[in-house]
Amino acid sequence: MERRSFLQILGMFSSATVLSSCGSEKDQKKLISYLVPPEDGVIPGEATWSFSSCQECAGECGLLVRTREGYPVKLEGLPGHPVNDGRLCMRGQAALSRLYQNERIQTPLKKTASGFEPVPWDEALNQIRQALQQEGQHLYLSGHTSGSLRSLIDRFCQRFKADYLPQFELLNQASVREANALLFRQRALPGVHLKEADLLLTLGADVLDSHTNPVDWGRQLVEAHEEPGFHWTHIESQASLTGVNADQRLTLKPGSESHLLTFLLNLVVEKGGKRPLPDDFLKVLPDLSVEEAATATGLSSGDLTRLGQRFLAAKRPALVVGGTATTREEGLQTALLAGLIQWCCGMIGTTIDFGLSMATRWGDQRDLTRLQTDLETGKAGVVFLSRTGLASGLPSTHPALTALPKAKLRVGLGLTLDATLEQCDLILPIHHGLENWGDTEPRQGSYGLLKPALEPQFASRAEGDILLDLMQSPKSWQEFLFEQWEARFSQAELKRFSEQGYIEKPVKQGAYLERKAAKALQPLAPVPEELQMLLVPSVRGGDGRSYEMPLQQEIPDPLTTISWGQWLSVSPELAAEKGWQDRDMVLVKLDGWETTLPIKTQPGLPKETLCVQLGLLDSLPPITANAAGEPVLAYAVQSLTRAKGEGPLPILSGSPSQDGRGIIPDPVHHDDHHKHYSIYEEHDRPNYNWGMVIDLEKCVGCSACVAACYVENTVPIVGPEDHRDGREMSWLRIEPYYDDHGKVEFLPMMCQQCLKAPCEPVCPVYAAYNSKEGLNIQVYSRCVGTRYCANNCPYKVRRFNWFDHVPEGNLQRMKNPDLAERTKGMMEKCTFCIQRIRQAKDTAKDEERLVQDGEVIPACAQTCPSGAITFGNLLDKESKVYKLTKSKRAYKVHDLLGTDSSVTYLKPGKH
Amino acid sequence: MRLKELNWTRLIITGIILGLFGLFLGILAAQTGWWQLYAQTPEQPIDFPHTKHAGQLGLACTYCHIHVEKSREAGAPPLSICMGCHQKIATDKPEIQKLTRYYNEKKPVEWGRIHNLPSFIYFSHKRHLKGGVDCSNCHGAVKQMAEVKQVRPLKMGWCVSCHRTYDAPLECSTCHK
Amino acid sequence: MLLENIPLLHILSTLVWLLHFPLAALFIGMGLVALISRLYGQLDREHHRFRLSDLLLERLPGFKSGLLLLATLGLNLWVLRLHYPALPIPFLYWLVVLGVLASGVWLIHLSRYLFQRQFNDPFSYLIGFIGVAQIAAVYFLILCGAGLLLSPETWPLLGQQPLLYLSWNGVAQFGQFMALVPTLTAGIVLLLGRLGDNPCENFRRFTERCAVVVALPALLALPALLVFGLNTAPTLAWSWPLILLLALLIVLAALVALVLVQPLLGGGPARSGLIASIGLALFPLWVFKTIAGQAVVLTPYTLDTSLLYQKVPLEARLGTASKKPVEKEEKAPKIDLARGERVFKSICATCHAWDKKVVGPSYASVVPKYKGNVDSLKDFIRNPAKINPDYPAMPNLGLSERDIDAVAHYLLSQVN
Repeated sequence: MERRSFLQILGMFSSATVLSSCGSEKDQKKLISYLVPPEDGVIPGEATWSFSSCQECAGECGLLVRTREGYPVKLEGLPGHPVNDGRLCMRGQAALSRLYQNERIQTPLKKTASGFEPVPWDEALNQIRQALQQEGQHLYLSGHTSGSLRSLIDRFCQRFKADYLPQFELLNQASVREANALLFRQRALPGVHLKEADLLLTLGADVLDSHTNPVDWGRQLVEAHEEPGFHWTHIESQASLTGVNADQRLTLKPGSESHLLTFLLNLVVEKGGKRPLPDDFLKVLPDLSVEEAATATGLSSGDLTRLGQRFLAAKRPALVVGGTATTREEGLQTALLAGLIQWCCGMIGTTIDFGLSMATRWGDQRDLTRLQTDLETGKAGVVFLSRTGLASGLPSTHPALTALPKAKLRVGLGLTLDATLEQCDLILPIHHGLENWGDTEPRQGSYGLLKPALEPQFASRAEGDILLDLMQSPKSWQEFLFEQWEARFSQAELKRFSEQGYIEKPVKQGAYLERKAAKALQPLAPVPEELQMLLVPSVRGGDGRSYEMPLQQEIPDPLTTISWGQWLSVSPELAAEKGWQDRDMVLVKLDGWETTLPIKTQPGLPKETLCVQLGLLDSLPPITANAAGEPVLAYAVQSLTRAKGEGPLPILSGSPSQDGRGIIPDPVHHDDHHKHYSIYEEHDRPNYNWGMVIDLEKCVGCSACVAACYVENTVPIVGPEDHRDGREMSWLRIEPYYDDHGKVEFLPMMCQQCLKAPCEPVCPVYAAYNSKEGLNIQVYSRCVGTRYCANNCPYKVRRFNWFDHVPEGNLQRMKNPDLAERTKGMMEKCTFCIQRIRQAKDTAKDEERLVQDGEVIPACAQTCPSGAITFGNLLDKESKVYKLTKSKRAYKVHDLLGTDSSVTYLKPGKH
Repeated sequence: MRLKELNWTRLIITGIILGLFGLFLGILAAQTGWWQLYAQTPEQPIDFPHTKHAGQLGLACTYCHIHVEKSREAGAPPLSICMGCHQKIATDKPEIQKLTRYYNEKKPVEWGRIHNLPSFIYFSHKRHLKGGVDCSNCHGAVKQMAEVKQVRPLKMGWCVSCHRTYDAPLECSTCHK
Repeated sequence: MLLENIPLLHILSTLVWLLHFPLAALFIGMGLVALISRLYGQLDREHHRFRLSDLLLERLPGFKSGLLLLATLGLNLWVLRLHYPALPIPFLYWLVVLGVLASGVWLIHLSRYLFQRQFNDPFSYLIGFIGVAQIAAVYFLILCGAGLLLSPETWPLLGQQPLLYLSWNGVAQFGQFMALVPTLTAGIVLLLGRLGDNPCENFRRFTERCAVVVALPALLALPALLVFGLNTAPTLAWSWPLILLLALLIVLAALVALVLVQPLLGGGPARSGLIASIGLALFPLWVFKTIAGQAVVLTPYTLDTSLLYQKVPLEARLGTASKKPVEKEEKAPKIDLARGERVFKSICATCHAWDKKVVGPSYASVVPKYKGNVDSLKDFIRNPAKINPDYPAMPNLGLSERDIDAVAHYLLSQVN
């Protein structure tokens, strides 16, 4: 590419290369000067923002990266990005720790007899070049990759006649993709337009936990609910966060999903859908009456009938299957039936859109078999494993893994020396997403930009650079990227891309039903009778990979409030039957595998199901694939017996019940507006009275706010021992409250910044006081550690630093320099992100005005995918917060105590 | 016998007295050690005289300390500002040659920090400058210092007394972030 | 003027302090010990105590000494006023300090007079104690002032926040002084015990015991007070002379303590001369220590409090490279060529010469361009822009409007 255009485009992206940092940290002994004042207005002490994309899951949300002194300290969603529009989930917030984790490989490594030894880049690359010249079928296996890198890998494989195997993801949604390939000739996951829909039916698809993009789903669900008449029913054979937040939740026996869909399809065909079902399908479609369906699924006939009626009455329904409904032997059938229902109800093209599809290059377990065959027959030459997580996602006995050593040369590319890379002969460290240039295509038509937010910390290289180097191309990865963009975008689009960090070029893609697919329909398989154990994805760990980050285990699971450790979820009925209690150790035996786990009762879990979250098991049971290549994660339990002892599970909630305290008031009861008489004088609040409103209807308990708070305020991660002692450190926690019917509501609880705080008068050294702006300020340097304030707090939101929790090594770079360091012996708690308030007031003061509504957004409010948290100045009568506090649903927790908290909650309306 | 008793008492009393004074002498020695090790004005890598630049040449403080009006941190002046004049001026002086070497080798200069606030304090230079506080308020008559020293205590009491006098915010959270 | 003899004045005032403090110590120490000894004597009917009291009262510094005390204090306060014009010493201060001191001295003398006339009633004791207390209080005030001298940045605030006058350092210094006082007094007491050709053995032993009771607690407290004083002084005040003096004080105090207790431990008669002289010597060392601390702090850098706490508007401040022109004075735009020449010679000459290139271009090559256009030359000097790529950027020198005007006119005047 021409130098001129390169520079032109580079100029558009104006990378602020910081040559050295300035000693802006107080308490630093040295004051280090810049060589040249940095361009782009980078001022020491002030943060700079750049674009990137999250690489934690295949959702690839757009990021806005906040960088201080050359090191990113906070990730936020990129406003306007088509996928996440300014929001970010829990895993994305925590993903910053991957940049700084101490286990990052710093130089290329070579496997020797005694372990791994560092080698220089040239040597490593030469070895690979030589091996590529040799005979053999070279293979390239990567994890989810989209955008220009994918094109480059394609070219690379073309050049060396290598096989770019379909990308490896454990939860590959292969059943749905195979079904779509058979039915609509598109092996992809279509997107959903919820705004268009009036009924959403999700079967097994854990859209708020990990399916496709939970942030996008969270956002869309809230928007959809704003239309009156929108209804969401979730049907599952486990108890997921998604399920408990749906308008209606039904549980069915695991394995009966295809029966349910057959029943629905029959109903649709009978009553006439928008499109007729072709005869080829009608011939093979099994009949299923309500009673038969009821017996098979375990639902009542009444429920089924009502479900059917609702489905038929819906004008623009949407059906999504996935998750535990398809990670089964009969997954392909379920997906085919779902596809047919989507077709017949006219969803394709309206609510279900192939123009928004993702995962177009994912493989499935059958491709692994191909890999295995190539390896076993000795044909395999160089095998590249890039960001696969192969060995963590598969059990170690999986034949593809055991055959790996047969390759002539195994080259691993990744960030840390995980189980997969340990199998490799040569390990090449690659840049973390935040250190790298790049682009993403999270779904068709949407492009995200990655711009480096910091100089690479180690001697890693961009994967693109490695490949171009091996191809002996004179281009750099950056040049390649710019070339691709020039080809793909017009000048105006390129400019927008560089300014916004994303661009959307909507694609219209229709679909037609392929009649030949009828051959794939099989008769209904019988529903298994025995107890089944399901391996399920979770909101904290995703498909298990995010559990590698300690923060994800530090934050408790929203449904069970278990933080560190592994457990087996059992239904309360089963536990009662066996006489078991929480934390009892049980031995689970499957065919060829067993494990001992502590149990936790989960209300709402069907009696036939046991669940374990992916990523929490030390070793995986053998994983087979169904007909579509999706891993079968449902296992027949051979025996379930009590083992000795109890598991040391930290269950952080004291009680799952509100004990009648009206913490989340029952909408039927009352109205508790008491007149408060106070012995304290009213404070004079001249300009600001900061307040927050949390809409419990919107809150789904995803804990993104908790993770954001952890990162923004560098809250220490304390570990399991402290959690077992009750010494959790989270400033913000999600409290799940179950009622007698097993329904659960989530309450985010943080310091309520009470205007008449019980914690203030009891501090012997005046370390806690109420500021002129309505905040409860904790002066860390004054605190002597009496802990009377924590004792007095009725919300129990004050946290004490029992120890000095200093993060190890490079993780210390995650510290937000805007906040004071808290050391042993200090009390800390939520401050409504006072550092952000201070920043906004600083800017406002420069412009000689007051802070406007919307200028200050605390970290929790900023990241909430549902937009449940609103923050602002209560003195400003035009602000969103003020208006929300006047809502009919507004109430304060423990209002009777007269604490006059600044946080108002909005009662959940429907359930 | 009587002599023995008296000797013991004498010994003990003498011991106590010597011990007590010795203790405080020891404390004094320890404090002196601390003073020598930690509280001295640090050595600077380049002998930069403010007397010449700020004093004689009358350069404005913000000519070199460019971030002071825009940020909470003052930062050290970037080397390019020095080289702006010293490409040609006084190039025969050894200190200027040292400076030039730093610049050419692209090595940042590690100045010894003199005014050091603890890390839990929020202090914004920009805010103070906009509030009308002159540099010499807190940094003393730098124009007259051949070697910059800290001449104000920079302790909380002093900050608070000035804030009290000039109606600046007195809330704890203003500085204790 | 007188101020040009400052070093001499410094030395003189130090000498005066050397005289003043021991004298004050004698007033306080002898007065207090006399009163207490008499009081106990009265209660216990112990004649030694009475004897001691009488001896002390007899030898108490007299009226003339009192005047000397006042005069030396007044003199030193005046010298302070001369040295540090920024230090506010209001009339009230003079009044209180000198007045209370005078009153204290007078009351002690009155008490002595009454005792010597055998008026041993509570009233005499009361006025005696009040007198001593008044003198002590005055020294508390004065030594707080000595502490104040270590933090010149607080001087401009004293008008509004007078309580800033008090400081822990002042308390420490007062404590040190009050520890030195009994030491000296103990020496005096011991000397009194050996008065006359045939001193009474019992009385001598009594004075030995009395000296220990008076001085030992103070001596044991002294090192703690010295270290406390060191810690309450700003680190800026620390210096080797200060620390060595402190060490010397502690060593001498230890010596005195040891020597003092010897008589009680069977070590023979007290070496009253030694004790008294060391007790006296402690005073100059203590004064030097205080001076040492002040000498390091009170430099021109710290004393320049002219701009301290002044709200200087952004635009008018020297040091703003802001876009707005500096407009401090709008006097009659007199063309001051002399001023211009001065600026030219001192500031511009660093980089410019008339006929050759130094750093920037020679005047001859650039100034004629501005002929007849003073304003554009002034604009350039005010906000120099990089014009010629061969030369480095001319720095914005932050000159005042007057200077810019003057030098621009001067430059143009030289072109013709």
